[in-house]
Amino acid sequence: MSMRVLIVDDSRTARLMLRRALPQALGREVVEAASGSEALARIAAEPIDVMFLDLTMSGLDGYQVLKALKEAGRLPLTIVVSADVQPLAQQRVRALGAMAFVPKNISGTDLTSVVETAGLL
Amino acid sequence: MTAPLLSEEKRDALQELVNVGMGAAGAALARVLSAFVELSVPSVEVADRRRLATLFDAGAWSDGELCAVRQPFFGSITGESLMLFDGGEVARLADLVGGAPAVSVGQRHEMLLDLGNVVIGACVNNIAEPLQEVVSFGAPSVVTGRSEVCGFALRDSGAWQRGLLINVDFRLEAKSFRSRVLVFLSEQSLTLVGQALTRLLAALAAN
Repeated sequence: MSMRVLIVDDSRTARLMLRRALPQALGREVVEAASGSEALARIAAEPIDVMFLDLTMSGLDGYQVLKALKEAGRLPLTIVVSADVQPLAQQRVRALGAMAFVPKNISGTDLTSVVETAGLL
Repeated sequence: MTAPLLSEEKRDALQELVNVGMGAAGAALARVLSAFVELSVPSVEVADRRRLATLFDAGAWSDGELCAVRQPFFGSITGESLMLFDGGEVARLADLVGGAPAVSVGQRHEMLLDLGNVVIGACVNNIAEPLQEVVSFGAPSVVTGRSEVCGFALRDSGAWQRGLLINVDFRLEAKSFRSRVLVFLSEQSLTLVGQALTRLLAALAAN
């Protein structure tokens, strides 16, 4: 099965880090969005199966992206990857439909277990 | 005109490191304050003395009084950090933390030291992270008064001519607070950080 992965983060470095952290076995087509509104435009225009979403972004933030997609019934399987690791942030994104929350780690974010749990491997 | 110290790629990488550090600091603050802390994306720039001076222009802060926590650090990188607060906001912050408006100056300063310690530690540790060596911190202290804070930030130090300016806004219980974190690094430390960022980006670009 071919899956399309969308990485949403306003930092180029963060997008690069996430790309590298994606498990090899998930070697699918990966596209990127540098802002919340770019993510919404992409999802409206093309099929996206999995989204890795940053929370703290200027403009539309991750919460607003989740809310808009949920309301439009267009929310892909979403894994939030965030520097904001407060428990309440995790609760909020789950309530908005995200299926998992992964803390950002500058020495290498571990996505393998979350991707396995999501049934993507 | 001096060449920019950091390319846009390196600046973005540094900003992401600080972003992750601020996230950890926000979570620590949330635990201390038992409240949800909303953080803006911190912006990072390399600022020379002239740019730093604009921080103290009239109207840059809502209140005449200015407060700062200063903390030196040494180890893999050497320098000094300054976290700036609006004097008017300090009282509001202290009220939030203390749960009552009447808080003594001593208690306010204590609260500032805790706050500064957490945020400065998070910023500096993550700036140094790619160097993979430990940073040690000296004791933080409070600097009060616009001219004292300004004088400290702009003093003619032989050790450093430029600083990293980090802008971060945070919201606590529906109240906004703005802070500026200045990280002054020795030229040698700035060079080391630049080299570490080059290695980091090269590792990311490699397959």
